[in-house]
Amino acid sequence: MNHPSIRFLLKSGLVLLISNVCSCYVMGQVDFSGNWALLMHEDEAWRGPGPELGEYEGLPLNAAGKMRAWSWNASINTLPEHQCIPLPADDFTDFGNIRVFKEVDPATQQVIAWHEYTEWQAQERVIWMDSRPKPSELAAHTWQGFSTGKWDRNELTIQTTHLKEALFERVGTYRSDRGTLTEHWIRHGNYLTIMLIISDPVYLAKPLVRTRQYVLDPDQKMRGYDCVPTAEIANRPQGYVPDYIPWKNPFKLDAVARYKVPEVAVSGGPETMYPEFVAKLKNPNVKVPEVTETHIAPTVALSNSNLNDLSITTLRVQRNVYMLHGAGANITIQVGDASVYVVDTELAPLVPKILAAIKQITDKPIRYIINTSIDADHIGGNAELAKGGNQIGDTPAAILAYENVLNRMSAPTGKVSPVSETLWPTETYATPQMQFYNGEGIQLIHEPSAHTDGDTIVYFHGSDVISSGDIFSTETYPVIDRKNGGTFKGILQSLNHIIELSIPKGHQEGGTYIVPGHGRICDQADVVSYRDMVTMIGHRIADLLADGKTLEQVLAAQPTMDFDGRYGAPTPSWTKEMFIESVYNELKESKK
Amino acid sequence: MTAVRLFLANTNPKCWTRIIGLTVMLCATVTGLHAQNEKTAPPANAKAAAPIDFTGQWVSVVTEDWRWRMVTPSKGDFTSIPLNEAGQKIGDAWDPAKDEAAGLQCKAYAAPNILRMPERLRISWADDDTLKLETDTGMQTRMFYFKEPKSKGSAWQGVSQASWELTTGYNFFSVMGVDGSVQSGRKAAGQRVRKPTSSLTVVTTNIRPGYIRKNGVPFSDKAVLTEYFDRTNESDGDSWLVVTSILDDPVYLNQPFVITTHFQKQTDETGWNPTPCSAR
Repeated sequence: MNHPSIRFLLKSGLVLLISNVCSCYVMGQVDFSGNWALLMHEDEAWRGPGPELGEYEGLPLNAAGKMRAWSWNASINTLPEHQCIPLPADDFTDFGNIRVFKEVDPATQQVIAWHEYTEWQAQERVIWMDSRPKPSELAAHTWQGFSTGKWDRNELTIQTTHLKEALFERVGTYRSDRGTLTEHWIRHGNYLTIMLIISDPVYLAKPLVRTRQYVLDPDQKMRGYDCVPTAEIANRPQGYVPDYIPWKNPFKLDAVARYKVPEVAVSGGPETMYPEFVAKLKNPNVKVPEVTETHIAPTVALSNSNLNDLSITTLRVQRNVYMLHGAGANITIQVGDASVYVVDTELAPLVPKILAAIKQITDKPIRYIINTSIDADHIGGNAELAKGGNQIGDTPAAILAYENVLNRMSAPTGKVSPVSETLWPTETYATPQMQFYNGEGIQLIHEPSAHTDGDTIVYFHGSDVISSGDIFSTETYPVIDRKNGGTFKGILQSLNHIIELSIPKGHQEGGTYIVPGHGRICDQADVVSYRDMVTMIGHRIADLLADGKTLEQVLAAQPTMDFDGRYGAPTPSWTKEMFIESVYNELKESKK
Repeated sequence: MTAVRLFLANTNPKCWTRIIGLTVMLCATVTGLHAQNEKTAPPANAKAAAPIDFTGQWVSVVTEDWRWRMVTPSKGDFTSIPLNEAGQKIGDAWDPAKDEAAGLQCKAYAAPNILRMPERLRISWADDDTLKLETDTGMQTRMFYFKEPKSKGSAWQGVSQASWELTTGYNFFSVMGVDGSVQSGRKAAGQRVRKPTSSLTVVTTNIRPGYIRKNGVPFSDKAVLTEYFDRTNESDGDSWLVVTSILDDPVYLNQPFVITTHFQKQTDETGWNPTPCSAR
């Protein structure tokens, strides 16, 4: 300690070491922290007052994107369930100032995340910089999605997935929930440029690229935004969805008259983005070729062999409720101090894996099983799963369903029942069912004549989760099992009922979560989007019917074309044609 | 240094030599590696110093301001431009026939607006210190001089001074100069640190007065155009040229006019279609 030379050497060594480390940090990344004011020196008319209805020039919409846009009616924004939808991650740059700040690990001082707050509609995004993995494909989607950032020289490149379906222009141009966003944030002195690349296999033929600018404005004051939805137009019937029949939209050519946008360009498409198109603008006889392909990923039928390879994915939905996903319908489980409550049982061969997945969460026994419908992929594991649990003592878990489920599974004495007795419910209900179980109220709600005539939705009040069964799916059009008492009208009523029961936390997001019969975890906004789609298709088929079209003509008119890329993939038991036919026949019968 | 003192107080003096040796070795290694990188001789010219390659053919993808770029907007449509009263007055008097008669068809193809045209660009090195940007629409050529400009200006494309953008920061301990030299220690403390980013900065002055838009929105001979050229690399192999332009014009603008224009990289030279200026 008393050797000055040693102290000097140590000090010098540390100083050199720190200086090298520090100089690396200084040479490192760009700092975006601060308040940034939006500059609207491009597209001001589109971002302020908004473009005209039907005006899509320069947007790489495919045929489905155009049809969807032509169906959009601005009045949809008056619906309470639409009023608080904010600008999504791929549209936040259109309007409003922003604040960017970083979240730093207190120990390492490394940036864990960038936060971006948009004043307009008070949205905050998080861009994770800590290389965390993406959430499961079955996780809930949000307006801002899940974003990760990575430095590429002086640019911050951001990838965003898990986005909710949203408009990227206020004239009906949608990016689906299968769309993704790539951004490049580039800072030059006091200017910030954000480049957005929106890709969507459902509605865009090519990526839509945009660039927006901000200027540093340290003294700006940001305001809050509190959205409280309310009925703006009185006496609308429940489930009212304003829309246009796409082939009869009266505003398609408004921009041609008002702004002299050439007719050949106004409906957009990728061709309208390129310099070659200028020549076509001067030739009024040239028509833009339609992009007709929609991208429908075929669903592969599952065999027993790939069931063996399949694993069960477990996701916590909220509080006591989890979703298990394997091959068939989703399973919802509620876990408490006493036992496990299971909604639907998938397929028998998967039961050992399902039990193992439940064991990962709790070692409590399964006490109740609910069947939301009669479908094989909802009841297949009934017997084995019940045996794997116990109700009281050594008795298997109870299986509960609406009484029509048992009626349709069984047969009069002497006749062969359509479903093996081992899979039958042990108990049924016919009057409203409420239980207090595992520390929360559970409501079994029968939805009459929807997917079938035996549907149940299960509402876990304390966890604020609804298990919807096959009334709602994020994978296909609604399966209307007319043979088992299902109706199109009932499906719409049930979807509207789920919307009525659920309450979003804020910005039309979160709050009540919904486990669909098939697909990812959802919230009210996702059900609203699905309900809107089903309602609009109903309007279109009704319109064709009113015009005297036959079923063949209705199918040829492709009334679902704008949604086929999202919901039209055929499954072994359901196709879009079957859906159209069901709706057509029901609407035709109701006219008689 | 408290932690160091505590550490030394509790360390066997026999270990000091080893500790000192290790510390010095570590520092020497890190410093050596660092210095090895930084003491490399500065590049001989702009081409050699280029942190990124902008050369090749690029196509504009018009997804913004379509109504004002793909077609000639109506007289008096100044949407999005922070034009002052004097500018509006001139814009309202726009007469393309008059421009044609005076041989001024290229007024909208000057530096402040040329990259807003639907077009293809070809970027190449004219020499080791001059980057050349050619357009097929309007058949214009811009020269970005990294050294003394050879042009004196007063043409549609003005005089463009180019530089590779430098980051600026302050370093407490060691400093790399703009010429690549390294200073370390207390003498360098608090000095400014500058290092090239991957952006190109171009400042254009002495531009012959013309239009910001084809419909006669004016800029003056006092206008200064600052542009930042960036390039992205997408995971699907695509690449985009992103040009952020800031036009300062004390005569006709209320505030700087800031826009960004994007171009997609082409893998070949298809679509190149030289077309003369048009006033309409």
